Amino acid sequence: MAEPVLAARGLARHFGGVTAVDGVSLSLRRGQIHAVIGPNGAGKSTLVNLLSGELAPSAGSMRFEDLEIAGMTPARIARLGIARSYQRVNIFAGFSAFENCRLAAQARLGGGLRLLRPARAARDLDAAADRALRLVGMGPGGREAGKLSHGEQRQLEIAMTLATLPKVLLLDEPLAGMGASESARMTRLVKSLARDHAILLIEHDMDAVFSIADVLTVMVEGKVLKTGRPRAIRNSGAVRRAYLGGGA
Amino acid sequence: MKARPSVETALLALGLVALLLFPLLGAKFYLQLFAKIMIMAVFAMSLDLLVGYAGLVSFGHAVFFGIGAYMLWWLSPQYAAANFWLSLPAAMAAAALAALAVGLLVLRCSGVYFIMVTLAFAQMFFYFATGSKFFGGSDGVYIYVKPVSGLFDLGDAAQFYYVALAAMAGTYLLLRGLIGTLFGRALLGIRGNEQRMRSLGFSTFGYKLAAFALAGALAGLAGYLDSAQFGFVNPDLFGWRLSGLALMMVILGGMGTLYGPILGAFVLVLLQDTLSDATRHWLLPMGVFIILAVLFLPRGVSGLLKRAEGKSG
Amino acid sequence: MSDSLVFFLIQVLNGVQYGLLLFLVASGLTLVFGIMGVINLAHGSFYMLGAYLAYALTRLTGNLFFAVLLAMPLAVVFGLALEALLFRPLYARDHLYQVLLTYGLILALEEMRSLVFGDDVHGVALPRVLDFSIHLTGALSYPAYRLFMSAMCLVIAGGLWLLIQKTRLGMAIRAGASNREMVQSLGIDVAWIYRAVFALGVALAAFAGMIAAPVASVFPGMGNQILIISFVVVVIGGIGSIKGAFLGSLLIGLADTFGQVFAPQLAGMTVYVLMAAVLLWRPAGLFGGKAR
Repeated sequence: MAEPVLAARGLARHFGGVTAVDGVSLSLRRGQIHAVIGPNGAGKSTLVNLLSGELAPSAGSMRFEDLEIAGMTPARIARLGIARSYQRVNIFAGFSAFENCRLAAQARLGGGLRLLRPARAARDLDAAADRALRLVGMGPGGREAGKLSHGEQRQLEIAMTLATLPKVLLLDEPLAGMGASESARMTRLVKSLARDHAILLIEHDMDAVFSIADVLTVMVEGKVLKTGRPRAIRNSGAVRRAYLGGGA
Repeated sequence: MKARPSVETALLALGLVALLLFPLLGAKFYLQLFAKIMIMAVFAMSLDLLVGYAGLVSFGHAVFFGIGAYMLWWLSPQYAAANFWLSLPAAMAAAALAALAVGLLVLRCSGVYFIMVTLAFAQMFFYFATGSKFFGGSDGVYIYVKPVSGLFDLGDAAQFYYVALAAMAGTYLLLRGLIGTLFGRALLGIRGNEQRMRSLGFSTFGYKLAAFALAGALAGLAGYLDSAQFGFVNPDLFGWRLSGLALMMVILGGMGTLYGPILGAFVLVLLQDTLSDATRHWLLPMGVFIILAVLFLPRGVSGLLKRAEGKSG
Repeated sequence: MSDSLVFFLIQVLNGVQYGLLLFLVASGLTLVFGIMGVINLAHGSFYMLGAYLAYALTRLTGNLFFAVLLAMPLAVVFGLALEALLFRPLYARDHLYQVLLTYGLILALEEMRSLVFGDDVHGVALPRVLDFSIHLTGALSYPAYRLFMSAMCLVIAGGLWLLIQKTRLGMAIRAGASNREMVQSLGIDVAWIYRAVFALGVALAAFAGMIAAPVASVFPGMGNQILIISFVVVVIGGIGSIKGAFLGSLLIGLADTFGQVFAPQLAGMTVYVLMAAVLLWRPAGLFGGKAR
């Protein structure tokens, strides 16, 4: 089995007296979809925020390839190649979908005098944006992002992460609020992305999760209840009690 | 962010030609007035970079205007002239450095905090200048001899007018060019959704600081020219009144357009001039005008123009 | 007690009194911003309004207390009129427009003041019943009126505390409510709340101006002066936090008073140096939420 691209060990996060994430460990491998499921309040969103750097862990370590990344800023983590999409659509509403992706692609350039290049000449960014939009199945993307349908905005969310050419994708409920056919399309998309990325998938849609996940981690009240292959999780009595069956 | 370059560019070119030819028929008083307007336009455009492009509403931008002005005084020997080619870059550099220092502190704040904090810094400089004997205190200081350049005579109204025009045109072109770069795109992204920019991988603080320093340098340019024109510098140049006036020019003209602030400068300075001739209490109609403009012209004059064009730009 | 210790005590009393007065003004500012999301640059003008009303009505009635009783309703009515005419359209808009509109408002109000009252500095007579000093030691005594001022401010601070802790509106304030939905979800009529909070803000600032008038005089620009300092208080204390405003005001009051005494060359800059120091450490103020 491949070495983990992103490995979290004993991650914890406290807010005052409340412990949102408590001793969570998991590994993401290239070519694998690692789904994290659990009832509301289980700490899944906090976990994503920890992995993306938006929250600093109270304890534990996160290693990306050979680098300890706990405590780094979100910008630094993103530049290393860890991209995240948001549960609530977080795009540049005033720009077109194309411009959204182009800006995302620009993030990889870093700083320096090359930023003074006339933007029109940056054809490589245009190409990257086009490619990202095509990968998620969107067209040329000239319409204003704020006016797109909900499903299209969710696609744009994913496209933006892809435009940064990441190694790891942290997808926070990409299917939220989608209808049946949109969900099916998005699920196929995530499956296709697994080939070239290591994917963390937070989702409530169990059909989708069980159809594409390679590994599942079940979280309850901030802790990991069980980690395993889909069949093992589905057959686990503890998991059923806590979440799947009569649970939560 | 679609561009309608043709109409905009045509109007700007027309305006430029008009301004170039103006001295041929204008009386000296008008030359001086228009020079003042164009200097304020430089100031307003520099603020537009912050407000309209980076999304930073600074209520203390006059600090850097004041620094440019005081620098000319400081670098001018008491009864002799300063060297234009040395003192101007020095003044702009001082303003830029101050902007870097202030920016390092205030750019950590966002939203309303940023507005309040920049306002407070403006007052800090005001109190410092007022309390300082060296800088002349509240009475201010005088520049008795205008800087010399060897190329043009700043004492001549027409020549000073052209220098101001060059400053305004140069500032416009510089900023227009900057907005068109990848840096400019990033600024617009920061204004649109700074948190998303960070999560994509942009170190937004650096971009904001760079914009802040550049805006400060350009404000220093305006301040330098202002003190060169009138020969008088006082702490009011630091205060919130001038900052607020510049902000009004940006909004009234239309922020995020660069030519909007130029329009705004023309309207407000002309208004100020007309009103202050009419009554000692001209600030009252001025205040009322500002209130009405905010209530009824949210997109500023350039917004009106865009609507007149037919479709939104 | 030794003279220097008493002198020190007097400065502390002065600093606290100034801080408490500042608290009245700053709490109004932070309440209006915290509940309504409106930044009001003209807040200092209400302080000025209170002071000038106190001046005019004390001359008329001969007694500061009567003047305050008359002036308060006047100030509140004026404030409510402004709220209805000018502020209501701004609730949904960006802070930038609020800043600009209230900037225009300051200019207009300053000139109106100049037209009605002129530009001279005026004094306001102390109420006779409080016009005495408490002897402390040797040559040092402390004006009773200043103690009265501090006491009044503390009473009001106590009232605000009750409001924050014991009412539903107070719950909204403590929760850091800064938008309509939050307030609405508490089952209170939003429009009414906004009017009430605005009126409260005006009343606090105006009252502060009134009771400060005998001590601080009545002069052009007094509104802007205290406004800026209030901003510093709010920045230090954190927007929307009454607790922060209280601590920030006391901090500033003491820093400014001691700064004047021990480092007069810095004259008025101590406050800003303090602000810069706090910002370096906590960009959102001592009790602010995120720096947003």
